[in-house]
Amino acid sequence: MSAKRSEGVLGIFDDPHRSVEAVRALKKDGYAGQIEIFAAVPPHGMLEEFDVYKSPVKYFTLTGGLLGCITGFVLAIGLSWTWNLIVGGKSPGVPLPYVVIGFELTILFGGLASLIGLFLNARLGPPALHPAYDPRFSEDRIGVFVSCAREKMALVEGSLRKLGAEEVRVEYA
Amino acid sequence: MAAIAPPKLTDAWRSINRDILAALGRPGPGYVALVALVVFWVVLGAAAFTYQTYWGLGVAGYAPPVMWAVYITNFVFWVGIAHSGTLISAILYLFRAKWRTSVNRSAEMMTVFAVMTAGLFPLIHLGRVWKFYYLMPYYPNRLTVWPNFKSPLVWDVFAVGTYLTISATFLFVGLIPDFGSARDRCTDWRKPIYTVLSLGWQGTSRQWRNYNRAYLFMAALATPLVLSVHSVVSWDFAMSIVPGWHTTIFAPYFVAGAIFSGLGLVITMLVPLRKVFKLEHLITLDHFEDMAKLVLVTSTIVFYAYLVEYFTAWYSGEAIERASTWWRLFGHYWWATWIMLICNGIIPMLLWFKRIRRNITALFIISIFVNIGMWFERFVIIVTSLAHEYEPAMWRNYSPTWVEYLITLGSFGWWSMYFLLFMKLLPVISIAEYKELVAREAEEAQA
Repeated sequence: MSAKRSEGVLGIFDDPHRSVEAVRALKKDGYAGQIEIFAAVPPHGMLEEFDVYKSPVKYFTLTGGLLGCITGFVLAIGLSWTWNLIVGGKSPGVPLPYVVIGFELTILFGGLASLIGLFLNARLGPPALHPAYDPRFSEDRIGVFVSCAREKMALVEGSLRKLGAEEVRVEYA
Repeated sequence: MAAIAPPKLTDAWRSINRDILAALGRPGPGYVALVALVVFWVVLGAAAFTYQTYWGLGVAGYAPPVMWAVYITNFVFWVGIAHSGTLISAILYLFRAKWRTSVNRSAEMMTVFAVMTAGLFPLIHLGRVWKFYYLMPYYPNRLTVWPNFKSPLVWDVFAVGTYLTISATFLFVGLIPDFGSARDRCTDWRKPIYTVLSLGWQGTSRQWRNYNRAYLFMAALATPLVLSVHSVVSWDFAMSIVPGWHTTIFAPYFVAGAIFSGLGLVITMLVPLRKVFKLEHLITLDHFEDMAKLVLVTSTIVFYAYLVEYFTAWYSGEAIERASTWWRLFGHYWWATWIMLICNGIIPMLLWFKRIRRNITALFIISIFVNIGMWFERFVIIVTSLAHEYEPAMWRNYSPTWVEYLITLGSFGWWSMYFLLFMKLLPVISIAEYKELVAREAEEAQA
């Protein structure tokens, strides 16, 4: 998250349902796109509130799988043609025995591409955490962070308190 | 009388977090002694392997025609053990089986270490271990060795290699949110390690959405992989014309056997684990009962496969096949065959009784019989078939030597060592998934 996006107000909730209600209310108030959550488990219905964003991991999986399948067949058939030996009365180019290699590499490349897709799209890698992140979020609390301009902070703070946050913190960049 | 308020979900989350992470605390003397014991086994195995590498494969009991023996038995056994982890993680995840949540992490760890152990045996079996890289064909073919892609042995390299990579990836992805929890609670030397391994996990909406999709796709990819890997291993045998091996039932028979043996070891391992780490409230009797039911199902499939093998040998009218089967049951290795039949087909039938399924001691004992029976199944398939092929002049019995015994013991030590060490470094139950399960159950209770 950019420095600008790290400035805002954080509401800490001890009730998952209230946190979802809070996100809904804040979206209605016009903060959609400025809200982020921190949760050990996404509360029921929470991710649906962020439905604008669809995970592109599936495209990585598909691309990896197809690439693996092609690699498997090319490797097996290519190497077999290099050694042009007839085994069991079958031509080196016969595709059936190479289905196993093609299948295994489809799974291997598909799985690894999914991992890459996860890393890139979930922005995993650097261990730095958002300035508003609190260790309680990985245990029993849900954080709802609204990035906003300083002049709106008081308003958001009031809203979060009204929406049931047990603690509200203002974060400056 | 005042109504008692239901426990808050976040309180349950906190308790799950603390109970599971408590298992990562300072180890007791019993744990240290156990680690020392298994490391000693590894040292014995390594010494025997060094001896074999120096003197050559002649120090093993190999003699024509039995040129595949205990090492390949161990390879197939450990690959089989590895199957329950991905079954529980991937297939039961896709089926939304709730009970998997308590056991999936330990089963996944078991899987990865079992494949690592299995992977040692083709190398040990090579004799000239320094030539191991010939196993992996690559392009352009600079090794001037003909890579026979029509051979199941080459398929095996790809299948087992893929299985190890995907199982390790699956385990790691499942661990990312838990590394985040461990990072936030841990205060000792492990904190920087968890910080790096958590990859900046904060549980944001973007992270969860992508994580859920990636996990789902990996489960979907791993499911056919589970079925393919042991099928490919079975084809190492079934594609040959050796009597006792050349049968079309081998693939489903091996897959069922693999899941059966893996579940057996999961039970063997979880019984002491839940006691030592005081996780009885998280790994409950219901979970054991569900595993016992799966053991029962797979036992009946395996036993049915044994019967079909015997039936087809008789019904085929093929004299060599009949002789081989008869010899298996009543020849030199009759004891191994009957250990296999009793441990895998008869003893697990006790699990038809609910009282046995819910008795932890009984389950633990049965699971040990399953482990023994499945090791002997691999031994019977490999050794008895090779020792009694077509030419009576070539029939010869095989006996393992001390080198093979010690390397086998070392493999159990190797697997146990990793498992014990990682039990103290990784949460043995998936914290995030358990919290999700509790949240879902709370939702259902409210609805």
